[in-house]
Amino acid sequence: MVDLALSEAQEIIKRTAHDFVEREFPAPLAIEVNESEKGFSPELWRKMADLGWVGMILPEAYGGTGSSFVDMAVIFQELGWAALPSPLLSSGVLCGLTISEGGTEQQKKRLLPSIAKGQRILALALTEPDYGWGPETVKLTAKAKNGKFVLNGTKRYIPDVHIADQCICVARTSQGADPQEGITLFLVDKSAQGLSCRDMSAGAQIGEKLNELAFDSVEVDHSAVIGEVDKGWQVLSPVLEKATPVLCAYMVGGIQRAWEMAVSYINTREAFGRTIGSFERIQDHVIEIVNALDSARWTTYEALWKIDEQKPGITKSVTLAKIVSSEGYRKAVDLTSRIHGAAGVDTRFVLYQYIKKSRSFYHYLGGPMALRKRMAHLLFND
Amino acid sequence: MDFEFRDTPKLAKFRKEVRAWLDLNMPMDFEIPDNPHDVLPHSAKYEFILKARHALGAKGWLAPTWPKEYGGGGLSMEEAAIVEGEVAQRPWSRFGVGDFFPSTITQFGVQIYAIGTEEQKKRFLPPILKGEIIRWNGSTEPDCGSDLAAVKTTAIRDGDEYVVNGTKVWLGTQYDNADYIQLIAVTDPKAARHHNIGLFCVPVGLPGISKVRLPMIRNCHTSGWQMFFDNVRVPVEYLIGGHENATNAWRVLSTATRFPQPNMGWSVRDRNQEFVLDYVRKTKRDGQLLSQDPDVREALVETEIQLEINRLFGMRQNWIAMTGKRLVGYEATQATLQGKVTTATQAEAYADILGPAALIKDPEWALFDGNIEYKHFAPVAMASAGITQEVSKMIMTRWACRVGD
Ligand SMILES: Cc1cc2nc3c(=O)[nH]c(=O)nc-3n(C[C@H](O)[C@H](O)[C@H](O)COP(=O)(O)OP(=O)(O)OC[C@H]3O[C@@H](n4cnc5c(N)ncnc54)[C@H](O)[C@@H]3O)c2cc1C
Repeated sequence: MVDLALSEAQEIIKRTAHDFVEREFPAPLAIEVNESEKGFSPELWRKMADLGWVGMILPEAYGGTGSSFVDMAVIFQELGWAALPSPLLSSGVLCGLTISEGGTEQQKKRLLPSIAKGQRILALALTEPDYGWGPETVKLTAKAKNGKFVLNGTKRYIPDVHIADQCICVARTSQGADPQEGITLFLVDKSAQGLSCRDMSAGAQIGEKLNELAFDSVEVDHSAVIGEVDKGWQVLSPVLEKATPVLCAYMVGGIQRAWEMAVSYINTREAFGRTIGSFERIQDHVIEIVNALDSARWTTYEALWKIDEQKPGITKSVTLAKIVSSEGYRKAVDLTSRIHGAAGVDTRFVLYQYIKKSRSFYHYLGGPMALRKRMAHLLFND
Repeated sequence: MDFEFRDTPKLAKFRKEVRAWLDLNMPMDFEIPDNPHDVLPHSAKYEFILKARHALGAKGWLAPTWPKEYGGGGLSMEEAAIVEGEVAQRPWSRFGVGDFFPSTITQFGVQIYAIGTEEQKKRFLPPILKGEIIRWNGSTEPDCGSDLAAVKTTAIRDGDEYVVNGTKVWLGTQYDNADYIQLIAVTDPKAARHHNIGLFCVPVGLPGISKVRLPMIRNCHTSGWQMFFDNVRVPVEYLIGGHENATNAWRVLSTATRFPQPNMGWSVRDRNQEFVLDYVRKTKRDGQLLSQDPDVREALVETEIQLEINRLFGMRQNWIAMTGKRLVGYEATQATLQGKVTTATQAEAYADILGPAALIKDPEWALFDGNIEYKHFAPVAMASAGITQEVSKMIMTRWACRVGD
């Protein structure tokens, strides 16, 4: 039976999360934390971990709660509504899942409980100067030498790694005809010798700090390999796919907030003796925002449901959700800004944080131009 | 028809002189960034721009078509077009070298010319046209922007002074350098809408004026200030047109330019588009040149189309100004609107093609010296500057839709 409502338990999660962000992360704090040097609040992170959010989709056996992706997304939507920045997607979803799906028993035991508690923060280092999210972009090399691997190369546009303890570095251990083969995942300490991390977003109007990681002959042990040598992409690819609609849920929350801001403004602001909400040009903008909201919402939740229920067609659904959410978020905040006139570009107004985030997440885990290509391949089976 | 600006022998000679003068007086061996926020107050670049402005102003070239007696250049439209075109080729002109606020001349200058007393014209026009003074535009208020006839700031006559009370927002630049505020205020609260507004040129130093910064999305020329007027006593000499025009200013607030500035910007290729075209011709992604990617091609075709429409609208405005043609009436607003649409299209396309690199400003990684990042946020910031797109459409409707004709 079709039922598009959240379950009772999910409604409770949603309310809890909403109350949390309303109480703990009001607009002034959203501005302060997002504008801070690290773009991160350790105190809030602690509280989120205490609520069990970081380990939500990690297995119970390793300190998680084994919840569903829809559960997790319900929280992300509220975080996105509040524009709350945290390494939850990097650590709890991308890296946590990579380890739980590809790691050895020993790695899981050693890493997952502290990840779930928020005590250990991980970030995924995948993208490189030749930016993209496919295996063909992975050029950073890892060469076996004296029983170790030596990593050389550069990762760029990496979020959260500046506050992480470790990263999962996606490296090339061999090069064949199929770019999916020959990729290996390495767990690397941030303090490893030869590894340097620099903020790329200095001076920019950025919604999420981006870093460059330079690997200059960084040596790691065999025990740092997650999954099998040369078979890393097979672990990472489904993880990226599952994490994507979770990110989309964050963007859905952002669009929801933009809509709320727009509606509240058009019903109070006056021009030419009327509230601006009475102008059809303005009404059309709000309708566009709502259309962006619902398009993103339903494509995202269907993708999440398919993941939870292991339905066929996940790739197409995820691709669809990310295209619609990326484009919809940017459009919604731009229209909200325009509805506000000059007030819509006042950086003391919390909308500014959403404008920046819509840009930062536009490309994260795949931008529309690349994803539309993937959609075409899926449609034409080529 | 002729879509080309061609020099007669006489004009060709004039162009040579202009070029030589610019080479001699404004030599430049550094780049001026597109983003005004990258030119710090009182830095060498800032000083250079000021100097360039003063030099152009002294020659009358900031207001080339204006009468010489008021500080203009006394040039013909064709000569003026040459001056502007040559200036537009110089890198420093991108920064609006004509003025930190060209509208000081095209807007305030025209308004003073239209309703100022002869004494005020002699006093204010020469320093304005020579670029010696900077005025900020104090129109918008917290409660009204598009609907300027609804301003609440009052200027109540008390003998030969007007007592100003009220608040203006979003005016000025990051350079704290205004000499005067072009201020509109209600002089007769009892009079009907549109018949109650006076225009002032208020010296910023008068007692009772204070201001705070209003931070805006960076990358717009006019990231501004909020100004408070608390019982500011403004002598009548600063009321444009004097007592007789105290309630009479509305008719000139949207005046069509009397001395048009021929804007030759349309004759210069958009630098960002050139950069991106060049970049995709040279850059490979996944082993393929970006310029061979059909999606990249389509996106750049779209920006090219918008830029070309923008160029032709600009050319048309120039032609209207040069020939004094009266067309339907919506054209200037349409050109403004197209400008806003064009830059927004560029920002989206460039971000689609270039990825997160389009968001980076750090000199080490930024594309095109940070101009791409600038280009990305400028359309958001500028969407409401001057006039919003919605209100542009409202104005166009009157002519374009002929409702009630
Ligand atoms: C970068 C920048 C620089 C600026 N510089 C200056 C300056 O130097 N001096 C100065 O005085 N001001 C300045 N402004 C203010 C600018 O002129 C106003 O923002 C603009 O006129 C719009 O007014 P508002 O912001 O009050 O919006 P409002 O007028 O409140 O409009 C809010 C929304 O309602 C819409 N709307 C209003 N009326 C209608 C209608 N009839 N039909 C349909 N929609 C309508 C608008 O399009 C907008 O979307 C600047 C603004 C910006 C962004």
